[in-house]
Amino acid sequence: MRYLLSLLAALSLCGALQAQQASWTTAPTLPGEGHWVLRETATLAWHEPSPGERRRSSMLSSRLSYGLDGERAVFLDLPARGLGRDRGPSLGDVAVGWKWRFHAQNTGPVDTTRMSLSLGATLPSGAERSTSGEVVPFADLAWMSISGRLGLGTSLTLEGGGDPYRRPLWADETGELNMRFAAAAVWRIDPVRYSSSLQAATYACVELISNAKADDLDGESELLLAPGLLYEAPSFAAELSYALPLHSDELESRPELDGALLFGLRFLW
Amino acid sequence: MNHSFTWAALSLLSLSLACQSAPSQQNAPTAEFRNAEAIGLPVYGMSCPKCANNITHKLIDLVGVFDVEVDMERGFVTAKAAPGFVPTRDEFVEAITAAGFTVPDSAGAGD
Repeated sequence: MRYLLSLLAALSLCGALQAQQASWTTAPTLPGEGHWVLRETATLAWHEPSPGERRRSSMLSSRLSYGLDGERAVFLDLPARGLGRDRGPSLGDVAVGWKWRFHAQNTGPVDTTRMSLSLGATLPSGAERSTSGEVVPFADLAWMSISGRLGLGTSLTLEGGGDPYRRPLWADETGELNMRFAAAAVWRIDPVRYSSSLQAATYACVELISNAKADDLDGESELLLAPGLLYEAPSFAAELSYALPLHSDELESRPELDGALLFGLRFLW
Repeated sequence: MNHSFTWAALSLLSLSLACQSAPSQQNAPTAEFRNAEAIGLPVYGMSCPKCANNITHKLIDLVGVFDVEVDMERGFVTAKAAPGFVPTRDEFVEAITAAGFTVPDSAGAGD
């Protein structure tokens, strides 16, 4: 029922947004043909394994994307995980994927609607304490629409089951078939109107993120709200977002999340 | 949980309805032109500076092009080239399309 409501909301957004890429919601954006985009994100998360106990964990993630043509790209994810004060950082499982933007409708100077499908897998390449130990496939469907200053986006990600991480940080590391639905609203704060030359833009973002087991929608799940800021210049972008838990339910395989701070940089060349 | 999700879904629904009626920054496209020094055409879908920068990269790769002006306000792109090397309209459109953008069909031709 929860996902039905979310999907209905997502579908209803479909007339509205496109290219500003929020932090937690996948967007159908791609590097141009023969070009690269590097996205570096640092995420600091606080968990509550038991009442009164707090644990901090961190993730430094690099995604390198290469544009094959105007509609297709390949990407590589390299995560490094830190599991609190008692353990140093270690390399997590590398992910490889292919992204296809199968729909693009440009209806005005800045107005566009786009959809993409990503397929890939994480490989059991990480250090012993930071690996799922198996090849884990994933699929992601993303939609975005931009109309004037407002962009809206939604994404639905399915990640196959594998061995759970020994200390899972996120919903998709619990060894179950997981589903993540995210929705974003991005509002261009500045400039109100673009000038005749290419210039940077600043956006306010609000995202809604939900995680659940795909085969048991009434089981383990969580809902997060993430306000943030995005600064986008022609050749780089910076992002800052803080995810707050709105609600969690039946969490057994991983500790409660108190909050997660994300800082990211994206470079285009 | 169900209440939270219902609330969230309804909020998104409301937001989306508001978005559908949000005014777009859309101006009448300037007529295209091509002369001995440059070519300029309206382009749609330049929704963010980073995206629009793809156009600059793509056009500057064309032989003879030495400068590209992207006007996101009007939705107009101009490529300046050495004499004799100004891209044809087809070359320009092909580069724009490959970058993921659209040259509207209704753009009026002019030289």
